[in-house]
Amino acid sequence: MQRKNKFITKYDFGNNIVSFDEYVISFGTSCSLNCEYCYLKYSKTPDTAVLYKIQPIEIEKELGELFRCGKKFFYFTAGETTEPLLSEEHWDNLCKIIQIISKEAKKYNIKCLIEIRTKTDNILKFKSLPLQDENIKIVYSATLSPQEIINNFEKNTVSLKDRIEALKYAAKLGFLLSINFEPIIFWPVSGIQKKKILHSLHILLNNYKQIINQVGDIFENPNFFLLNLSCLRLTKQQYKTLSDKKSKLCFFEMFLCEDGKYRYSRPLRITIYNELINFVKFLWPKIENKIFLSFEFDYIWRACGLKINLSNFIF
Amino acid sequence: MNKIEEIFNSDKIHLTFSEKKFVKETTKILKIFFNKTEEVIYKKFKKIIANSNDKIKNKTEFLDFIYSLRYPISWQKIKELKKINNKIPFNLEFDEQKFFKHNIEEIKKIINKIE
Repeated sequence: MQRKNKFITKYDFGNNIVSFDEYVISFGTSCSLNCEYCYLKYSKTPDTAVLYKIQPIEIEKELGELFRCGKKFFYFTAGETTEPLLSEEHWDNLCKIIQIISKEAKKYNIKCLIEIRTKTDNILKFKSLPLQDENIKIVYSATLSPQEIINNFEKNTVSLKDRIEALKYAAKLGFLLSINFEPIIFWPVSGIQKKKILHSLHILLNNYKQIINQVGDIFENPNFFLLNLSCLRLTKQQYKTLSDKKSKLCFFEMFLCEDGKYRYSRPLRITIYNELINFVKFLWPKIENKIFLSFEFDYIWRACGLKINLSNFIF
Repeated sequence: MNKIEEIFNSDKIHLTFSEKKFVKETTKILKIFFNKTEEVIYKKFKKIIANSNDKIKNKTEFLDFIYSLRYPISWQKIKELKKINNKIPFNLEFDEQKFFKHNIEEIKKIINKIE
């Protein structure tokens, strides 16, 4: 399929959201993983995953415009419009774009990070990516969720065990490494009373702490780049559609935020983040400046005692 | 007639259109997690109206109960913060340093913790 719009677009986060100023690489659209919370299910995308025909001249032109703006560092993300490792064709297509970015980055002397965010273990099967150079670094970013969450809301994805195995393999390949706890889903919910909610929260935190213990060697790896935490966000439309379908994603204590997305209430989010941050910091104190609260407001960062210093992440 | 409609039609409580909408939406969302939600709400309603014929007082008490069911963690916090500054957004999503000039540490304790 011919791409009608740009291949590279700036992500619009909305007011007061802390971000890397990410640029999205659109090399395809839609996704067969069908995660219950994914925004792609609610946007006008084809039913099956589609790849765009790579047009090198167009991409070079887009990158040229971008790289001439004066900024010396760019963060690209490849997991927004489709799953980057969904199929070998997806991976090949992305690799072609990465090669173009690499060439242009060298030409303009720009540093780039390219995040490949995945819920698959396909890195084990596809050809490796020889693309780490002085201008460009690839971040293998594994989304890790408790197995119970995978079973309920990410049914077509691989198991937690397989995702961890793939992450450890990516470590051997020399990628920068990122662990994503995104979205953190409030589940299971054992009841509607406050006491039951607190019990559910305790279960949620224990589930994530167990995962943290399973990936201790990743936190200790010199290529460890980022721990990303982010609670579930749902658009107004998603919240309505999912509640009509009686989806367990529609937790009742969610509020509409200024960016038009429903989030768990502030005390819940802050407690989840703080508990996980303190747990990781206790085990690996140096990790503190590698923790990122994705799609969160600056006052949430402050409440979690995190300093907004994005230069920690620039190589 | 279901129990929620019966509450709406009662002459012992006055609920506006948007309040009814909120009660309906809350019932729908809570039912996903607890199937006896309607019974619990109805029982509380009956208890409220048994003690008073004041439509407005009953409304306040009833809605307070609905809010506490819907937002078990935040509702008491919202009420406490509203007493200090009535203009704070209901969803608690705001920068406390911009909203409150005094007692900021005390406010942070309320807003940033679950208990």
